[in-house]
Amino acid sequence: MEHAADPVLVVRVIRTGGFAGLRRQWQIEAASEDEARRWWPLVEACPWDTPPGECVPDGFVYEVVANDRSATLAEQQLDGPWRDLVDAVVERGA
Amino acid sequence: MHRGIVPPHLLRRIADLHDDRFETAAEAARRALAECPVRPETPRATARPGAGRRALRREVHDAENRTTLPGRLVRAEGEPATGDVAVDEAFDGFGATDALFRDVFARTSIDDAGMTLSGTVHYGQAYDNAFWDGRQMVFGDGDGQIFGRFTASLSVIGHELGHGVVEHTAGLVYRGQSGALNESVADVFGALVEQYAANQSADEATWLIGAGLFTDRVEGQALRSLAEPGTAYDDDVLGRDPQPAHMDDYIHTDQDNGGVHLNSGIPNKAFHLVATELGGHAWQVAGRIWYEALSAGLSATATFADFARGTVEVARRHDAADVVCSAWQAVGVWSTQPTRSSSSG
Repeated sequence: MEHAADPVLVVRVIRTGGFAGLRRQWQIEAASEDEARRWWPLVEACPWDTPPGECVPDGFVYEVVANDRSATLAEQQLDGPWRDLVDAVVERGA
Repeated sequence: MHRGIVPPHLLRRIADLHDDRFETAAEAARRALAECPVRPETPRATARPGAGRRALRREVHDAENRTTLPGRLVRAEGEPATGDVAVDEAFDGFGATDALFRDVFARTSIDDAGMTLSGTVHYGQAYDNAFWDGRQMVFGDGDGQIFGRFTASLSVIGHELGHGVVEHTAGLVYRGQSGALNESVADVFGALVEQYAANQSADEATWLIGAGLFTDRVEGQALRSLAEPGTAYDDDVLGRDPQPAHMDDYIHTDQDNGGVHLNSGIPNKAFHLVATELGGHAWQVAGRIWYEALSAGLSATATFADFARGTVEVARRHDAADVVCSAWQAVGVWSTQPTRSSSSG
């Protein structure tokens, strides 16, 4: 359990691009070990070695950071576990 | 309907109205057009035979708040208005955009071969965006708090179709300077579509992109300004329009595909300078120079300077090389003086 000693989990979603070119950021911070445990399955489910995809013109670009892991994704890559994680962070971290 | 007073592009717009309230006007416009079949421009000699006169074909789909494309077809060419404002705005916006490319640039649709202009509205839930997916345009309804629906501004529709034209001409790579150039050219087309539809001269135009998209909770008039990049909005929540207008302020970032929506302010300003310096209707000379430079062998990885060279070459044929050259110098793409005189920033 690599993270057992560190109960604090920070998941950050930075969305750039889009027609408006506006930068939006959402973040959750799990302060307690209990709280972090609820987020870990969502984080672990994501394929963090996903290479960045080609962006379509005006498509959103997502940068997802969970403690020391990070990935940059084109909007179209945001499905399955990535979508679940990002939606949860956006919902909670608004 | 007084023939000759209403410009042909307006007649065509009125003739295309399928709305009971305007049926008399539309009928009159159709008659006027039939009496006067001369088009303002003839197709380029290089246009593919048979393709040059292919009629406008539009399709608008409804994603019904899902993200599956294209969604359900709700309005095709020749069909009357649906009463769904987003559907009808997209449909009319495609018509207005096609009119600019067809009348002024003698281009038949996005691919210059008459492809159907296809779009989807009501994409996703509270979706704050519009994009071009390589085949069609996609418009969200906005979240209702920051953004309203993305079809509300004709410049947005022109911008998205503009991406289609870029893809079928230079194919500018959507990253770094070539990406910012892609964005800028799409903004220029967006602004020109709006100006052409309203028959505005360069000094009458707003030069805004996305006016009317923000809700009234936001302190801002639009998303971008070609006249004054960096001044379109200044809001407590959204911050300030970050666009630079000069190479000295070029933003180096990994985000937004290397700042494609940010650094586009620099070539945007160059176009505005050319258009206002030349005066009159921006689409007539400035627009033609930009369009010809884009579609005459520009590299997919072109830098601002590459594009600037292309525009000056084209501008020689339009007797406007000096004006174009000065504009690129003014935004710092070509240096003439060690420091800029502008004090913005």
